[in-house]
Amino acid sequence: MKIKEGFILRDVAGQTIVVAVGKMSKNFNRIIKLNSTGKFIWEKLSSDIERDELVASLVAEYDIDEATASSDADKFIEALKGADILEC
Amino acid sequence: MNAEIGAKAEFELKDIAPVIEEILLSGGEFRFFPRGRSMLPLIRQGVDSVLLVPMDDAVNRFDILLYKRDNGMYVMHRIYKISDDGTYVMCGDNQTVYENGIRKEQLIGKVRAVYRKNKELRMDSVSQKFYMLLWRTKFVRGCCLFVYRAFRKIGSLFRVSK
Repeated sequence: MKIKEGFILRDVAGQTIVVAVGKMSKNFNRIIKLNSTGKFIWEKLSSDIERDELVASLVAEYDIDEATASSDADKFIEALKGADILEC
Repeated sequence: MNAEIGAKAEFELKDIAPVIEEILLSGGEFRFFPRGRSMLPLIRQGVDSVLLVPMDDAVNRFDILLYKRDNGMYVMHRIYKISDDGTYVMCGDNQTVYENGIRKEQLIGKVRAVYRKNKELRMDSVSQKFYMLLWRTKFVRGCCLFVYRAFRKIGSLFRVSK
C-alpha cells in the first residue's frame, strides 16, 4: 500500500502538515497535521510498503513493543483509508 | 492520534503563503483560516476561511487577491482600482490607505469564496456585490467601519462583564 499521488508534506511554523496539490486538491483542499510519529509513518507510506514492514520499522525507530506499533499503524492506515488517501 | 485529517488550517500568511503558492502553481486550490484583521468585517480571524484558486486572465476590480510585495511579504487584499498603466491599487476591507503599483507578476491567487462555518459566500453573489458597493467609496467605507468597530467594542465590553 502507498499514499496516492498528489500530496506534499511541509513543515510550517513548527508543525508538519500535508496538503494536496494539483487535481487532488479539488477533492481535498484542507490539511493533515502530523506529529513526529505521523510524519515517520507518512514518509514510509510514500513508497509502497506492507503493513508488517511498517510495524517493524516503527518498532525499530521508536523502541516500542509490537502491539503498540501495530495499533499505531492500524489507526493511521484506517484514517487514511477513510479519507481515501491510501491506495492498497 | 498521529494524524489529524481535515485539521483547521489557521496560519499566519507569512508562514503558509509559500505552501499556498506551491499548491496554486500546481493548478490546485486551498482552503485556510487566515490570521489578521485587515480584511474585517468580511474575514474574521479564526472564524472564516477562504478558498484560494490560481490566477486566471480575468482580474477584476474588487477581486480579493493573494500577492507578494517586493520585500517578500505576502498580503491578501482587495483590488480597489486597476490603474491606467495596468498595475493594481490594493486595499484591505478594514483599511482606508491604498497600496499602489502592484504588478501582475506579483499576483499569486484569487479568493473564490469565503466560508462562514460551512456557509459559502461566493464573491460573485448579490450580497457581495452590495457589500462592494458600500466598500468602493472611501467615505461610506470609513463610516461603515466606524459603526462596525463601535459595535465590536460594545460587544467586547459585554463579553468581559459576563
